[in-house]
Amino acid sequence: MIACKQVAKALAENRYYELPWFRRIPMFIHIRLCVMCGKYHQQVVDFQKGIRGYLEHEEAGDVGTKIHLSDEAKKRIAEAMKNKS
Amino acid sequence: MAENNPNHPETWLEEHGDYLFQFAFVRLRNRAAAEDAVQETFLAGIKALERYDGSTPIRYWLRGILRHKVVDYIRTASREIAVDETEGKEILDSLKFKAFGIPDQHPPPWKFDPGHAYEQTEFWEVFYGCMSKLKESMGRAFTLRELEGWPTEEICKELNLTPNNLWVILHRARTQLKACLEANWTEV
Repeated sequence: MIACKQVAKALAENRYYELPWFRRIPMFIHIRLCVMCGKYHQQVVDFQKGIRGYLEHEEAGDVGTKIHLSDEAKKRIAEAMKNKS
Repeated sequence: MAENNPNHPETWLEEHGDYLFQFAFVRLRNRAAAEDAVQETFLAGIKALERYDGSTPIRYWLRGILRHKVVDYIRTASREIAVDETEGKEILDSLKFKAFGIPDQHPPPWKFDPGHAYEQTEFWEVFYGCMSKLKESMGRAFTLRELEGWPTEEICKELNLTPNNLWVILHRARTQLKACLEANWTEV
């Protein structure tokens, strides 16, 4: 059985979903059963899974946001590119 | 001619400007810095265009350049800001952290089911908004660790942090992110 501190160290140094299955399984069991650190580390794992989900959607280009380059920035960038090419 | 060629620099700003800006902004959380990073990316792209072999879409090729620009900015900004050595001392000194590697207080349970939320397309807009609101200083470590997947050792070296300081920063970033998500996401 692995210890709470080992789970903490592994999650601090790795993204849960990138760990090989033979490291993930004992961690998964520990997190499910441990009354001391289970709740805390479950939330760390939830976040890491959320970030993976975000990165996948970002990769696919389907994160809808309302953020855009300002007209002023576009003008400045266009000007700089014109001078460069 | 340029309009007919999707890889021509003249089309980049219109085609990929907002996408790249969004990519940079969530990592830098600073509008001016993100705009500069996009500009520098396009200029570097023009310079390196001869080396573009077409094996990946131009958008992803430019995004690869932007990643480096983002990291360059974080490196420079981190050098200019002194690290607070007492950061998180109360957490790091607690017995629970020393014994179990966790803070004294258990986090309250989620106010929504994250597994269910991750299946909703609209959730990622909220997630983006909340990541963009992280304080710049903690956001840097968060970007390198969680978005770029850098090893702890390398982040500590770049940002001049100890592994424990980094742990506290990431813990605080998650706490802030959770509060923001809970305030802005309504279960559907």
